[in-house]
Amino acid sequence: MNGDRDVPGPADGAWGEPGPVNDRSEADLVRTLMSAADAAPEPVGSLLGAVERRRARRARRRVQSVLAVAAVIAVVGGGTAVARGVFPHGGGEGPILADATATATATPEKSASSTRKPTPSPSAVRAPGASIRPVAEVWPAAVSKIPAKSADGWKYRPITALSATELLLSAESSFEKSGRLEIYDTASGSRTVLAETPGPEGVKGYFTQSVDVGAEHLVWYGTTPNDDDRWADFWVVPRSGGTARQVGEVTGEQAEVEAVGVTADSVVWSVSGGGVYRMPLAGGTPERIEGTDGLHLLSWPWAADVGERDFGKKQTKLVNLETMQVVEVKTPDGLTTFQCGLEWCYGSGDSEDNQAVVQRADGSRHRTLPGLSALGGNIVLARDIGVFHVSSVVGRDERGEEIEDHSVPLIALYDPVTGTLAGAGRSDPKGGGYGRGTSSSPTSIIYWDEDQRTVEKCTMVEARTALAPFPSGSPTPTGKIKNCATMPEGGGREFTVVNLLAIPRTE
Amino acid sequence: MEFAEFVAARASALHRYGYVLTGNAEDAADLVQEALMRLGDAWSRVHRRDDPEGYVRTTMARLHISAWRRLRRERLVAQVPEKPYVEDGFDGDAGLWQELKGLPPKQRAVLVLRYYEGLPDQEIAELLGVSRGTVRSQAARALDKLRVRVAELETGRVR
Repeated sequence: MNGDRDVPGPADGAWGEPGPVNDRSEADLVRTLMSAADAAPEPVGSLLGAVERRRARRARRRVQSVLAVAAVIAVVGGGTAVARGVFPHGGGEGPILADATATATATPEKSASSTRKPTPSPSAVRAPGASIRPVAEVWPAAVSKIPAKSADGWKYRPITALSATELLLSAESSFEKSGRLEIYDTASGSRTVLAETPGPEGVKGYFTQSVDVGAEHLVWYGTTPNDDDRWADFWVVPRSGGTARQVGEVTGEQAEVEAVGVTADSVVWSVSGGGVYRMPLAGGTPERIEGTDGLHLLSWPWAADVGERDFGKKQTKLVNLETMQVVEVKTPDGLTTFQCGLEWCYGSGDSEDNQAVVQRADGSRHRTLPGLSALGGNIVLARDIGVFHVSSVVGRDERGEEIEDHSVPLIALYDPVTGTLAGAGRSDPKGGGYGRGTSSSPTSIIYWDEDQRTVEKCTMVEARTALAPFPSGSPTPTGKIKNCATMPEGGGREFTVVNLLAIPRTE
Repeated sequence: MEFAEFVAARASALHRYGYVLTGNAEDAADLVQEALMRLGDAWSRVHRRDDPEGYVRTTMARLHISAWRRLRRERLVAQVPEKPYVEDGFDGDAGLWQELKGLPPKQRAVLVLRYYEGLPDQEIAELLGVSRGTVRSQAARALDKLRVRVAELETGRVR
């Protein structure tokens, strides 16, 4: 508009459809943003006060968001595929990864998984990720469909796999309100109730949090996330099932639980500020394990010097808390995140060629994984399998701009032992999603709801209402505008589950 | 510098940044608070080693494009009221400001970082954790939707 908004331009009748003529300049954009910033309505109240109140409620929100975010990650498409229509997506049956373009060019060395190193496609017509085959083809034994609800209609939330066929699920009576633990056997399709998770008597607003699987027991902790109390309790039940038993309660710093585990005789947990505690299974006084300052439980007996909230911090060691053996981790230069499982480490840097890096803790077998990028540092799953986002860029159009292919898998699972990649997750033109099990130790479950779709819902609303944050005094907007929200829709019937413990390994 | 001093000194600028990122005052306040809360957690580390303001701005941009936020936020799409309206003291292109609200968060974030923060594409890529190519394609799509004429392709020159 070049600043001349008085002239009713031809575009006035055609908002929403890209006109052939670009009638604004970049300078208009700069000026509009600057001007909007200057005219921003002043925030109400004290910002510092609001921040401090939020920090005080942090424990509650952190725990809730850990469950909510860790459980299901929705990914909304970064933009409209320029090549929309070329990559049609079917009605939701079966893998939706191998579409026209992905198969148009023959995929080389499909089965040579043990030596396979993905390379950028020379012609740049396919994303490196386009050759990643779906997990149902790569590891068919590891993929199964399970009901999304229990027999009495409670929603399942996968936790982790107990074996190659047994999945530990939590059944929730309402959102994130765990009611019991069940085992679903993918070989027989049968389900067993392992234990009820009732919570302590008389504690209001109690929610069970992460569960972990020990050699003989399952353990979990619970909190009251909707109040400001720093309080948590711990529960155990034999792996064979039975009545859950409360081990004890903690308060203060000890109650800032971020990870939990169980040994033959104790519950162990680490707190968000670092440090590992233990409490005898028979109950008693918790004690801080000596030499654990700054350590975060990864999976008993292993602890790391980075926690789940240490985004952007690089891990430097692994500590065995039974023997206090320290494994120094060789951290490559130039990475912004670096995080290890028990033997393998993953990292990500800022340059285009080190967005996904894998190596052994001692620095050997270092390699990069083209076309993949890290998921905010939370890469390591059970058996040191890594999970990455897959770049959907397949090529460039005539203007040299990138074309996205939304039929590439949403995420890729990487087995460092065999060097195999497998595509997973639900992918659709407007986004996609996947969930990971909620266990405290790295989970062995990745799952998604194949029938779910990302939809944009729009309604026409009065401009006056929708634009309410604008200050009074300005001319009242008139007419109706379109108000849209993007959200997942459908599904809820069954989950497609990848059980990482069922992945065959022959090194 | 103490955390409280930092908040007091930078609140207004951060709020303005949040406003152009989100397009409305409520989301802006939410975004600033959330980012400052995280900064508060990391303060002892960040104020020694890093640049607190950069930390907050990066957190805000990442939160804005993050999935949990996108699921919840409603947004206005490119369909403006018949008559453009303006805020007090707003002398930009009101239609353009409205249409910005219709962009997907990532595209909007890229434009804000490029044209409001004045960052080069490489820095935007690092800040958002995406490739430089993605920044360029997102920006190109957004500019195309907004019918903004780009001075010269590839150079990214801002007049």
